[in-house]
This record gives sequence, structure tokens and C-alpha cells, in this order.
Amino acid sequence: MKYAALIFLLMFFVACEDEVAVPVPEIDPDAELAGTGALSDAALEALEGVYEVVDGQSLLGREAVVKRTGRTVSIFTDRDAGYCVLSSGEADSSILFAGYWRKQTGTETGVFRAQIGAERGGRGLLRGQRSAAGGTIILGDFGNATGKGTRPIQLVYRRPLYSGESPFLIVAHRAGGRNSDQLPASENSAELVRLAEGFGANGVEIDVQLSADGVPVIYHDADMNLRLNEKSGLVGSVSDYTIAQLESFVRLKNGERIPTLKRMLATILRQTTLRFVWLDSKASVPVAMLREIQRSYEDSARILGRDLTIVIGLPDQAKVEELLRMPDYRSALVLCETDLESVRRTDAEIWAPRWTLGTQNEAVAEVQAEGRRVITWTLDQAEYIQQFIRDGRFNGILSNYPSLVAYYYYVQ
Amino acid sequence: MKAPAFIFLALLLAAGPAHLHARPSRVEDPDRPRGSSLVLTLGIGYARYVMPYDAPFAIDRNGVVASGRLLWHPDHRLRFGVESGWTRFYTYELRGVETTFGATDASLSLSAVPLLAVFSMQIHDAITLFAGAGGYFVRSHATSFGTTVDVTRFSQGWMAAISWDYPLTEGVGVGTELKWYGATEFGDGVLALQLRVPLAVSGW
Repeated sequence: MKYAALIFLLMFFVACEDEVAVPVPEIDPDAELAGTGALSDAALEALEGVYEVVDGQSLLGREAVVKRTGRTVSIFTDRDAGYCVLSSGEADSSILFAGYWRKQTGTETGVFRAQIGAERGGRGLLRGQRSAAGGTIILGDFGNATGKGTRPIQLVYRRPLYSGESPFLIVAHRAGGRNSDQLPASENSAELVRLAEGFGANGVEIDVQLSADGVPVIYHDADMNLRLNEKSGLVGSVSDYTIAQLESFVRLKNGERIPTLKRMLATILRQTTLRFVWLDSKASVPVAMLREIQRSYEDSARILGRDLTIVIGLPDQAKVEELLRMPDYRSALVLCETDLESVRRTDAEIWAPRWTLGTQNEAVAEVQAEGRRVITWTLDQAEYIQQFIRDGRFNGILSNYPSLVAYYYYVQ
Repeated sequence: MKAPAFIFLALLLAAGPAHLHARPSRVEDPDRPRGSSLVLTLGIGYARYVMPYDAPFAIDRNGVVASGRLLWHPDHRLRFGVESGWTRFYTYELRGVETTFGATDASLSLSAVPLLAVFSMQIHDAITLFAGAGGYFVRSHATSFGTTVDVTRFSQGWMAAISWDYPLTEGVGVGTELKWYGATEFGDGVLALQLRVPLAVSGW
């Protein structure tokens, strides 16, 4: 037995742990689409719809959602939480796409190229005309991460996307998703928030903490750790260090800096078309400070003509009471995660109950009748997303899989 | 990394019963009637940070380790006690780090104070295995923009070691020890080679 112990010890020292990485496939959409012109807003909106998948069901299932997502066009499917993020361009009355696909429940990814020929609906779309069922056909192929093993894609337009009475909020958790899903950028980074729309989100939730010198920064966990950042030698929380020290030493999992709240909001405002931001305020950050920043960026959004709502999240009773101590608390747009009484006391714009409490249709309707919206969190399982969209009355869903929420919402 | 530590410990414990009464403690006189003693072992040596560190700069992986271990040596070979000490994990210096506040020189030193419950078993006349679980008070000492900050956090961790001893007198020995210190929370660990001095501080 003693020798077994020695052998085991030896095995431990020679063993190593490989982290899984899913890099975006090597495709350069700008090069692939060189010489094409940018699509107009009207054309991008006209090509949106629910498409039947004729070829490529192994990637996209039987039905796929094609949606303009900010500066990109995305395709969403319920198969393995899959999505494609595509750049687009027009040439000779055809529309060309190049980008990548990813199955978020695993590590599969690859390149995706397609086009809508002039006579297959391209010409009409470029004029901003939505086609009738069967009038638009997307043809192309998809391959693995190195571009090899291409398989055909054929999508046929069937119907427009579902659109409810009011815009539905698809809110991406931690600025786009979690590190555990091996996204191309780190969670809660400015780099990820630029990608969030491509994943189907029209809003993001970000986690705000305070650095030692009082600068609000975006970081989720109480203490810095290897799940969120590269090894740096700094232990403790972001609140133990000044922003200058954090910038000097810490890089997030994919090499990015920990962003300040102001940098994050500026990125959202100027580099995305996201229209909703949920500031999840951690204990260290004063609500009054968030209110000042919220006010400043609301003003900036107004000047830029941007439709952007920034809400301050109140995750617990302590934050509720902190808000209520502010003399002008009613002027702040807040999202309250606690009980209905607190929602009314704070005059919250949004009530955000956790999804495990169920659809709560009666309570949701009651709150909506008061002019408030209701967003449930954090809903990640496909069957529950489908069920909550089908049976619930929510105004939005917070998820690590915004592509799944987008799919189930738009195919209704 | 927690699981291997506990499995290793379990193997030691599993190996124990067959030999519990086999041999007396090493620093005791083998001919003396068996009894209990408290043995303090002091060690100092070289520590090498052996965990991966992916960065575009080099870290200094060499350091010093010092430790003190107090073990109860009962009348059988499975012993237990506590261990503490100090070890440096690594240091690094950076020149001209770009930040939004301008460029700065930066330096960092990461060290740890272990606090571990240790089990040990003599597997040969002079050779003893050790395994311990507990944690480390890991300390960052970081300087940038001319300002230094020290922050300490507790991390779960473990240790494993193998030692060889030579008795000098009835209560004093000298030997060497190859030791692993691992702080699991931050993925840090050193492999250390120490000179050790076991001292029987009391016996009954």
C-alpha cells in the first residue's frame, strides 16, 4: 500500500490540467466580403424572419431565426443553443454573409458562408421589400473551425419574426454570458458586451463593484479568482485595490482589463445598439454613486438619440433601504429583485423575480397593470425558456443563452 | 487538486493499520520501551514554484521556504500534528505597464503561510511520508505607480512530503525533506527541498 501511495503521488505531479478554449474560427469577414457594400437598415430588417432549414439541419435544426443584431446578422436555433454570427455585404444585387457558427452547449464551432442571390430574393431585400413565404432562399455552406469539411446550407423564408405588443427584453447575463461557456471574450468585459447583440441580446446585465479608490468597476465575484481572471498574484477582492493597481496587474480570462463602469457604459452607448442595461449593484458600491453615473449616461444617450434604459439593480433589502434613504430616490430607474412591497416602495421600473418562483402570471399582471415591467432571471435551460415564453407574461428574460431566448421568442 | 490530497491521505490511513505497532519513532531509541513523544521539526530550504503561469513576462519561480511542524509520535507509526511556516511562491517585475493612467513599473511578490493538519507515517527506518490538509494565508505584496498594497486571503490547500532522517542523539536528528505545498484556490504550489532538524521536545 505504501508503494501505491508513492505511485499516486508521482502520478499527481506529472498530471496536468488543460483548460478548454473555443476560439472563434479563423475567418476574416472583412476580407471575405471585400468589395461588397454595406446593407441598408431597410435591407437588414427585410431579411429578418423565421426560415425553414432545408439543408444543414445538423447545425440549425428544422427552423431557424434570422435576425439583424446590431451591426451583424445572426441565425438562432434551438439545436444545442446554436447560433451563427455573420457579417454581411451586397454585390451585384446579391447579399453575402461570412462568419462563424457555435453550439454553445458544447465546444463545436466553425465557419459559415452564405448568400442570397439576386433572383432568390436578394434584389427585393436590397430594396427593403420583405419577401413572401418561399421568396427568399439563403444558400451556403458551413465547416469546422479550420474551414474544412463543408456541408451545404439552404434556408427558405417562411414567416416574419414574432413581435409582441411591447419590445421583449433579451438580457444577456454578465455582459453576454459566462466564462464557463468559452465565449470569445471574458464575462463582464467591454469586449464581450460588443458581441452580446450577435448572441441575440438586446440588453445586458453587468456586475458593479467598487475599487479601493472609489471607482465602480465591473467584476462578478466577491474575491478575484481564476474562474474570472488570469493568474496575476493579486489575492482579495477588487475593493482591496485601486483601479490603477487593477489595471497594472489584472487581466480577465481572455486577457482583457477589468472595465470601469463608465468605460462599459460608453462602449454600450457608442459601439452597440443595445437598449437596456441592468447594473447589478454589489454591496460595496453606493446606490447614490450609481444614480449619478446613470443620470450622466442617460443624458449622453439622449444627446446621441439612443434608446437606452439603464436601471440600477436592487438585489436585496439592504440596497432597497439604501435607495430609500436618498432624497430623490424616485428619480432613479431601479430594478427590484425582492418582494412586491419593495417594488412599490421604491417605485421600481422593473420587478425581477428569480425564475424558480415560476411564471407567477397573476402577480406579473398586477405589477404590469401598475405600469411596471417584469423580467425573470436567470433562465438557462431550453425547456424552461420555451415554457416561460409560452406560458408566462414577462417583459424580458435574463439568460446566459440569449440566443435560445431569441429563438423561442421570435418563432412564436 | 483537493481530491488527490484526500485520496493520498486515505491511502496513508489505509496503509496504517497493518503497521501501526511495527516500529518505534525514528528519533527515539529503538530499544527503549515504546511511548509517546512530541517532535518539533524545523526546516529551511529552497522552493520552486512549479505551477503553470501563462503570461507574456517571466516570473521568478525561486524562493525560500521555512517550516515548523509539531507532531505527536504515539506508540505506533501513524502520527499527527500541525505545520506552519512561510514560503514564497513567486515574484515578478514589470517595466512600463500601459494603463489608462499612463505607464508604470510594477512589481509583485506572492507568499504564503501554511496552516495544516498533518498526518505522517514512517515507511522505512529513516523514511517518513507526510500528508496534510488545511490552508494557506496567501499574501500579495504589489507595487505600482509608487504605491504598495498588501492583501492576505485564506486559501484551502494541502501538502505532501517525504523525509529522510539521521539520528544525531536520542532526541535530535538531521535530515532532508522533499515537500509539496499547494494552495488550491489560486492554483499556486511549490516543490521544496529542505534541510530538517527533528527535535523530541517531550516524551512520556
